[in-house]
Amino acid sequence: MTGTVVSRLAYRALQRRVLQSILFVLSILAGVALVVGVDVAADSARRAFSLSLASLQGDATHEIVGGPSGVPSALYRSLRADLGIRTAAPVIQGTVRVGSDEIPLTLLGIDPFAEAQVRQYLAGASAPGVDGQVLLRLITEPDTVLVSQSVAARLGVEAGEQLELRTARGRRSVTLVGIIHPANELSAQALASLVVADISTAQEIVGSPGVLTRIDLVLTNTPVLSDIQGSLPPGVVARPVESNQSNLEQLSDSFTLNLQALSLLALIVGLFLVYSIMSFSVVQRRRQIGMLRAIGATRRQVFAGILLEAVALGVAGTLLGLAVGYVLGGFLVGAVTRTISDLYYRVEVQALTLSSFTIAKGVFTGLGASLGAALIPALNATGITPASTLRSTDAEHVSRSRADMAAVAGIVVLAAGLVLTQFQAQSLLLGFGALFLALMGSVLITPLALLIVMRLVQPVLGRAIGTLGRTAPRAIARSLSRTGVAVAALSLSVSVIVGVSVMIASFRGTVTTWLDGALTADVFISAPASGLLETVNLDPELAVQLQNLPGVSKVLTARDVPVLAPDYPDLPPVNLVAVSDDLAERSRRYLWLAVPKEDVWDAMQNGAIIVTESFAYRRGITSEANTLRILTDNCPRSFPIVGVYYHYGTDQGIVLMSDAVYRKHFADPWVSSFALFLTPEAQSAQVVENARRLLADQGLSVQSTGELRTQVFTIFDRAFNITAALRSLAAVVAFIGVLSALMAIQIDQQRTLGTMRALGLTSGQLWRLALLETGLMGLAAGVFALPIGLLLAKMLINVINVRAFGWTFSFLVAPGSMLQAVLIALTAALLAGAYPAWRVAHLAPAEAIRYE
Amino acid sequence: MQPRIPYLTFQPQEMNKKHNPIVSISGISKSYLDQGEQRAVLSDASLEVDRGEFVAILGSSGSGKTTLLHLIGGIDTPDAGEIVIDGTDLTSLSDTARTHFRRRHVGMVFQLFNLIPTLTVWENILLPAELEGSVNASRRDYAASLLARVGLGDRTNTFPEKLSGGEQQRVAIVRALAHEPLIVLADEPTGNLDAQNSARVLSILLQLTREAGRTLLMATHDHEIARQASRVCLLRDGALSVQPAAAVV
Repeated sequence: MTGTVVSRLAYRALQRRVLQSILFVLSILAGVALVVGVDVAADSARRAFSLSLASLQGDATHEIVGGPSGVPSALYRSLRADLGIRTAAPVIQGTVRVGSDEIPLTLLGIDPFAEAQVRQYLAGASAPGVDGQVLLRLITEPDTVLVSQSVAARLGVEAGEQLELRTARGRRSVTLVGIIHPANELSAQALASLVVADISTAQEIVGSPGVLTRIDLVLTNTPVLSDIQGSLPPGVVARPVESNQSNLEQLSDSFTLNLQALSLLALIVGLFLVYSIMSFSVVQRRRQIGMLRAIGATRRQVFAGILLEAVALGVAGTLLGLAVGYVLGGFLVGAVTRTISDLYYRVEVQALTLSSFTIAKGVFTGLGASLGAALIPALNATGITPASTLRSTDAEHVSRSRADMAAVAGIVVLAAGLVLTQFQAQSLLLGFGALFLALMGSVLITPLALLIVMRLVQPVLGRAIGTLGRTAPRAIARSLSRTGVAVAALSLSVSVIVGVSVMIASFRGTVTTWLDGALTADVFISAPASGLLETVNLDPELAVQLQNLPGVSKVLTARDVPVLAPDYPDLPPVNLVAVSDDLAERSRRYLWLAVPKEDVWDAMQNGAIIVTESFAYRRGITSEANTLRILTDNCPRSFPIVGVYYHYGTDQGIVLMSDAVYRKHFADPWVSSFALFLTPEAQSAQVVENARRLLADQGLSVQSTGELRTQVFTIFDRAFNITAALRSLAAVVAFIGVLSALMAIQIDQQRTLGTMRALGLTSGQLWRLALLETGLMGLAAGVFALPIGLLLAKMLINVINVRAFGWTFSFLVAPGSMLQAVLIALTAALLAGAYPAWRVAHLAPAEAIRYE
Repeated sequence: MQPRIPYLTFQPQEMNKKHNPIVSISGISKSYLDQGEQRAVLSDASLEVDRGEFVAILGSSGSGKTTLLHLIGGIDTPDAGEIVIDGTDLTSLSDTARTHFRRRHVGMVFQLFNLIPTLTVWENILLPAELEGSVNASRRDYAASLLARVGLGDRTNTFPEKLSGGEQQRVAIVRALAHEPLIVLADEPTGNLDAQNSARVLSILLQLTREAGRTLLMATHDHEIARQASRVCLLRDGALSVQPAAAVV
């Protein structure tokens, strides 16, 4: 019975405040949609990658892999013939570019008969329109391949047609002997970016005759594994596949975690809005609540009524947020996969993933934010007594004293956040915890800061504009329960813009400085970028041909290969770069060095290595713990580390070794890229043109320093596009908040404004007064956002980026961007205030005076 | 130095003889949309008020007293009819022109005081003059003298929320008079006060308007108050009838 009354009152309250209800729902919707959208995009990319990996690994429990030299084909034959292992499948893997658009696809070389023992994506697949002997043709006819329906559709080809594959070794024409119709979603995902060929065809295309990328095994008992390990040549290991899969998947973890954190930030802004809306709703109903209390409603019933409203609106916002988030995820997934493909591994998303975890997270955050933000207003409502409702300003007196309490709490929370950053733990989550505490602390201080600033500007404006000038800051201070929260929400949002902008600018500035030092050669030649995990085999003879080009004074080579570091089984393989000479010897900046700078190259030629900052950070390498064991062709071997240097090319880190040392330990004939130094009189463009002509068939990328720099920044900007988009969405959420707060203030002040109109204030003057109020709030929010934003940037740079990527970079603040942030806050407030101000200006004074 | 309007005593019969009305309303009608239906508040109402006269508007709650005052004050517009104040036809003015007219020539006292909470007592009092841009030393002196007369000369820097209801209404009366308007409109000025404060506020309002020679129109449902007026306008079912106070009360 009681419940019915409470529900009825809550329902009527919602009915009477349609606009506020809509704003509440919008706030939760926006927050939940961002959280869900980012999750959907990240999960879809991750699931696509996992599916590809899982289905490509099939039932394999172990894999045999080698270093850069790969696994000899003879080992596969020996496993089958000598050890009698039937559940083994050889694999060749490489990158090819297909068709005139040069679409990058993974070439998978397999033994069709051995495949069925390990994975099933070909089983159940059919190739209609071609005779039943497709697999036989694949084995017996050279230069034949299969692709899936989706790949054929992307390439616009049909069975029987020719395909042109381009690798770093040149072009090759192959026949598409069949199109695979996947039997299920798993197979479809597995085949989404594959060109399947027979082992021997693949070896010819990739240029690794007699060598396999790996051998997949299905092993059920340990003795067999021991037998296998006993038969492996040096430099080749057998390892469980799960560790490899999780190692690969964690490559992009930091990137997606950063996105998720940013989306949570938007939710926090939304939380402030809901708090603002619910607070106002309670203030508006003080008389009604007082009356209810007078006729016998208990505090608990009042409390339940307010929370019931929040739940009803929260459920609506959450459900809509889930739906909008899923759609948003569809838009974000393109940007996310593009960046993951640019920086980590190639991924094609076939279908969006909305996991039950994401749904639960959306529901929890949506309802949690609704209830959490409504809790304080609901508690306030229980404190309303019939007597206090007659004193209209009571609520504001309370809010002013609360501003003091909030500021004290804010200082404590801020300090806790700052203390948390001092812990040396590598935990990224702890870092984000510290960041959120610092932000929340800063935001809690905002209402008191607003009060102080308004008191300070009041005499100034009074002298400049007169009575109306004094009215605006006083009105803001008077409605602190609303204005404080609105300004805090806007400050928070703009501080995110400031923080993220400063971080991106600092990162960009640091990368620019780094590139200036790193790109000392004039022309760079490498395979087109295809992710971290690809090894490109180029003929070292090309160096001789390039050296003979007119204008070229020196050619350096680099070999870029993944190698295994047995001491770090839980981390992805090590990116080893072996260089024939030191490109950036003089300009390289070091975190620490064990030898004089000018002796680094000599030390490297004597067997030492240097590693990048992120590599050292992830593996705890210090000037004391300064060796790295690498699995060479012969055995695991320790290399002394003589320095750690700053490098921003990959967050997975690099080990730099001298080419001579590398060749001593690895029987690898190939190189991966070339750097050309030109004679002083040579024209860079002409050399680039000549090199391109020379390497026309290889499909190599020949770039001048300028072009490479442009490409680096294109990828850089693309990686931050989604960050920028989320930053804008956070601003939109704040905009809604400011709008709702201003509407609330305007409704609150309706009688006062009506009186002003009655006393002779023209609608134009009222319009200007309303805009002055909103402008002041915007300006205050913009100014408050600067220190909060700089603190956020400092923490993003010094805590989050170090923990996420292992990078440190300089803190660069452009005064222009600070001014821009203040203008953004001012503009947002003025735009949000335009409609309330218009409403104020068109207020019918007669009606407003009547208003209670 | 602003010219002071000389002290006038209420002499309605004499004023009527001159037939020089400061307020002239003829044939005004006003209706509101109430739950989808038009509800007539005033129908074909006419009234003339002479300079310096005190007219009470008497009627029960919802009879249209406030609406009539709002129409005379130019903060609302009639559906039909003409409202002329000191020769200016308010119905022919734009919203802005009406606002300018109002701030210059009309003083208002509300039942709920309606002081601007963000302005001090002094700023509230000078607000109409400041909006008009006519604040000068003599205006300030006059406002200060009025404030002293109502016993609040020492409260200039106080904000309204620190004042009692009676004090707030006394400030509102000073605000209505400080810019020396042609007419003062009071909407149940004692409606929210206790008996003691009511009597004091009414006495101050009548005394100050009389001394300043202002025309006063006051909405009330209190017959005792209406008895002090020169004439009474009775509002019933949207119709307005004017009678001598003695005849009504």
